[in-house]
Amino acid sequence: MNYFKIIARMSMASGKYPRYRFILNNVASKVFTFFGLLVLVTFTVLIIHLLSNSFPLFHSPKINYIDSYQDYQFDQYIGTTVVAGKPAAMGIKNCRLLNVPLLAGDDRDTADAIRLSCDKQWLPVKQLDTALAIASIDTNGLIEFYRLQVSEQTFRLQLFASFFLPEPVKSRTSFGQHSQHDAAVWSIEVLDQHIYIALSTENGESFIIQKTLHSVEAPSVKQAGQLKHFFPLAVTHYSLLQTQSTTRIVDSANTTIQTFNPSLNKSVFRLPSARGFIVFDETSYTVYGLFNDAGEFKYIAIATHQEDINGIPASIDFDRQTGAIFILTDTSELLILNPNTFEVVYKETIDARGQSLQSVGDFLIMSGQDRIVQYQISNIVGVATWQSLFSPVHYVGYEEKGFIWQTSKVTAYDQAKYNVVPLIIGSIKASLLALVVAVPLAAGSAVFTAYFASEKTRAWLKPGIEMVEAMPSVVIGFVAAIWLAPMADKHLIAILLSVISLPFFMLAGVLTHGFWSSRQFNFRSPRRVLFAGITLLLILLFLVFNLGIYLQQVFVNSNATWAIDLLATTSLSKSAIVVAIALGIAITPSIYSLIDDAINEVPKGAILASFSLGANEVQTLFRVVLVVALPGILSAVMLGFGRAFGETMIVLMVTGNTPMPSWELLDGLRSLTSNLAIELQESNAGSMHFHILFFTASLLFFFTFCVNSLAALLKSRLTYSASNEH
Amino acid sequence: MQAMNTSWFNLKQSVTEVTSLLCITLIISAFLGLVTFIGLQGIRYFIPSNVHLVTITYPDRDEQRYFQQETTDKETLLADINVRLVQQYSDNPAGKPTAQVTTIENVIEATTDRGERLYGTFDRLTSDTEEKLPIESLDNLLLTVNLLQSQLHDVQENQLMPIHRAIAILNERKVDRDVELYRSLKADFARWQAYVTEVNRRLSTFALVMVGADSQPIRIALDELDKLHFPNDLTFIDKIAVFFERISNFLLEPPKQAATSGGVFPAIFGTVLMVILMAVVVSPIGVIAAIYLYEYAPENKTTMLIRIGVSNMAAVPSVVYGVFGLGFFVYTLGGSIDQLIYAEKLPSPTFGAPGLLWASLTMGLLTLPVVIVATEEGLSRVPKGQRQGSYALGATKLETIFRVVLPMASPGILTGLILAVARAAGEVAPLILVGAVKFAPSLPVDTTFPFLHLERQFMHLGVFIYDGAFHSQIDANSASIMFASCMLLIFIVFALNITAIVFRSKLRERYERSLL
Repeated sequence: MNYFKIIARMSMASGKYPRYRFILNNVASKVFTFFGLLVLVTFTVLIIHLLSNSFPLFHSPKINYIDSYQDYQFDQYIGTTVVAGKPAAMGIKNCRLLNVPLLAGDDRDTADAIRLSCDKQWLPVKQLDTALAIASIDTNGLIEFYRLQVSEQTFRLQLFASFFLPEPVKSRTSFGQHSQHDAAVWSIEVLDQHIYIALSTENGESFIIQKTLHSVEAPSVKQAGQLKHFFPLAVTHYSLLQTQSTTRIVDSANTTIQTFNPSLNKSVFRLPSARGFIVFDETSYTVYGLFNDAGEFKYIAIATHQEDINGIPASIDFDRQTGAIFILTDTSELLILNPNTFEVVYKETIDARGQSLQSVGDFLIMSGQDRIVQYQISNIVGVATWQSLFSPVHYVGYEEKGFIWQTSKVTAYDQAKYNVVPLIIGSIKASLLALVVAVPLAAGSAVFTAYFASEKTRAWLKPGIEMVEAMPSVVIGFVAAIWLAPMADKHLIAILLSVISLPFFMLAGVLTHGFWSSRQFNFRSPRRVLFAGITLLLILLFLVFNLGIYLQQVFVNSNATWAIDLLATTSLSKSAIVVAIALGIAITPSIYSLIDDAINEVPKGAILASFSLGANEVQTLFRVVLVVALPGILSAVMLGFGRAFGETMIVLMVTGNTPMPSWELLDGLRSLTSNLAIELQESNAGSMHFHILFFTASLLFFFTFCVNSLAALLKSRLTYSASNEH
Repeated sequence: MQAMNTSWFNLKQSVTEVTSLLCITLIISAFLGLVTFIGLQGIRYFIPSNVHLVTITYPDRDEQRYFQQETTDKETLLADINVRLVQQYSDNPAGKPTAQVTTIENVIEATTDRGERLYGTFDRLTSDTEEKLPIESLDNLLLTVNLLQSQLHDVQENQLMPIHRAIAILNERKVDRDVELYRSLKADFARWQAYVTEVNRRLSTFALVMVGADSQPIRIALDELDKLHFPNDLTFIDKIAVFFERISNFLLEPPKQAATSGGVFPAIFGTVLMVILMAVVVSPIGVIAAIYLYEYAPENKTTMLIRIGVSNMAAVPSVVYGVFGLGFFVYTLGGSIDQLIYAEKLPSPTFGAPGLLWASLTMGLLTLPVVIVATEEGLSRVPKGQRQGSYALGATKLETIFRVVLPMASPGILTGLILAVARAAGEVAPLILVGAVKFAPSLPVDTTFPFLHLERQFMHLGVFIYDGAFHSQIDANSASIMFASCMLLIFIVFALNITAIVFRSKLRERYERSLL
């Protein structure tokens, strides 16, 4: 440095602006401090952002009372739907279909009303989706079904089915007397392209009418005695009938499929997915789910929970986004259940003596005879529970408990399943297998460069291997996906043969060691031996590989059963083995570099002391060097594990990305990281899926955080023990 | 006894040594093999290869003939095809067709503007006057076509455009349609339009007609023809010329034909632009934070927390940065910006969607620890004496840092920056989440204000490769453009890393010299 220049500049400066220089100095130190703290702030924001997006999952949902409406008394309440982004109650009054906006402070004028015929009786129709439908019955027994179509501010009724009520029903009931309340109770529902009508007449008879939509077939009728509960079930066109004495499931031809014992005859509700039902007792409830037992459909108990429920459950609905189940009892207790485990996540008595409950967007609407009460639900993603995320769950449609990650719904009735265990298993499996490949390779190489090889060899070999650490993982993933995986499938026997023959080559190398050590091949010139070794190994592996290809051809041609079986049953291409190789190779250089440092940091004095006590090189290596370096080696292995755990691209490109909770080597896997890369962009911000993905990101973050801290702790133990060795 | 012991020790020694040697051999051969494999597969994309005529004769239906371009000779190709046929017809050996590979001369490989490659033998050239012209007149015809195209362009630019504008102005002023001026403009317009139609008709008559492998004629209009080769008749020098031409096309052209031909220019451009923006963000923050940590920070809990933060940020899985970038930068920051500035465009997002700016910021966060650690290392290599000398001369701490320490530590800073750039160029996982896409319709830089469009999505070399492997149905043979991209990516990353190593060793040298 040119000091004269500095002196000249500084004396000039100090002569002219002495104060300015010191002010600048002080300001600068503040600026530097600011940037130093900025790094801390960034790190904190990173943690807080991840956590704040995961926390809503573990907060219970909240229900806030908004308003109650009494001034509109409908003759017939139809339901609540969303009009122009706001909930609006629909009801019939004076032969008009009215719409009442349900937001406090809103203009309550009903702008639109549809005039309905006064000669008909109008009834609500239940559907699984939020769209509303109504049915009309005229005096002749013609029943017509309309869907309510809402676009911005206007409504329209669209006819989608009509038929005459079939004979035994038609003659025994009087229809269409809109003004006078007849005692007949109608329950009309559309499910799976079928219309189901349950009718209890005034003289205690019950009928169930079933009609296939878009078909010319006449509706079927069955008599059901004293009907207490009836609802159709999805997929199979079965329905559940509960009378005073029995509860049974019948198919469309009225054949009983399953009967439940009378003790179950409490109160029965269908699940939102329509693929199961909940039976409530005084102190517990049991959930039954559909299960396809080799073509035979039946309903099996999938969950039982003890819960003191205040009153008898009267109404049920579910959140369309998360599937959370809302249950309202006749004593105004509101329960929210998790859609997969059916645990109660929220229980509170609310001020709503309503009869029916409906979930519309973010709102819960309780509608009674005289009034409509509106509640707002916040943080509905809080229905996620530790159990639903981490424990085996008996899902509807499965025979036994299991871990399932399935975020996309195939049909409207499917419930998204967010169990993160398959992903965690995938991540751990991939990284452990990668360590199995990487650690021996890295440790062996590190022993070679840090212990056996000369300083000179190490000086070029170590940076060389460290440089391949920078190899972009997408390139390794690409080659593994495009070349390694298909090749592993095609030349299975060749690969098995090469892997099996490796130890034999090693043995051969050991046995010919005396020849190597002779004067022509001086083993102390490792560079030459290294190149010879590489060449020889590559040639041998190439030969063995080709032999394997040839043998596979021979086996297949000679129809050897075991070979054909092996080839038919074993597919390596999307298995954990290929990931292990690709990921293992990718993390080897970084583990190698750390182990090499750990071995190199072993005090030279300890090694020399061991030699002087008469120990040879190998004894010194195993009894002194590796023992002293062990904490460092362990810390390197841990860091390698962390790195493999966080690696995304290789796992994403090479595995089939099937989330399976399996530790099998031949099964595919999906890791936490690749799951984020696949699913995060597709999930809606604020949805349960989004929050759970953030939760998995937090898991990843804290896992690597712990692994790192542990590795650092081990490393500090190494420096401690090494300094003690001095 | 003693002898036995020694030989046992010898054996143990040799087992250990050979095992460790074998391990290092395996690693080195794995990586050398990887690089060689990518290099060989990638180079294939540039090497002009022979075109073979493959004839497959089926016992029960018509024979199938097609041209196949392969770097291998025809015997190898025939062997490959036979292996494939044996596998395909393993259930039905009687139905197995026989294959035949011939190499015929004068096969034309014609590339169209859309990147399509067509093969055939020359049949004729057509022009507006002649129906059958020999191949030698191609240059002349191309000249004529170019001339016509430039005429067309000229007319459209200098004649039609002014008329359009004039008519538009008249319409705007609601001038009556019967005015003389209006009518004369209309007449001019009709005249020039007729001329354009005529030229277009003439242009369409210029074509190259080839005979395809199935003996069907293939007609390529000369104004759509991009390149024309005779791959089987190239001399060595021609081949070299084609090789370099393909390299330049690869670097300068966008991908064509669903990323199976063409080049990767937008991906290179996107990568470079993202990395530059990232460097602009990360270098001042990283360098100043490192100066704080090394020169200013007191030994207290806050400093310890900062150090823990930096070391943990270095180990956070890269995809977590992507998650953070999407959640914080895109949805939170971008969403707020949209609501403040681009409220009229909502609900379609401007900054509230993944884009270049957020990708650069995310990558900046990812590489911040790299810059800090390398800068700190550079600062630590500056001898204490230098600082003390500067203080002794009356310099303030700031002056010491800027005039003495930083100039000496600059190679360390550069090393950090280069390593950060290399990391960002090779990283893919966070970019998938925050803005890199497999195909961006437009570059983030263009001629419309504000020229640099930070909100646009962009292409990235790594994402391009990932997409090629993940979504396209390709195998090792047809993926040569992907291998070429891999080669380019490895080249960039390693070149940057080697530069960083060189800078680092320079720093060490300087430090050692200053000690003397």
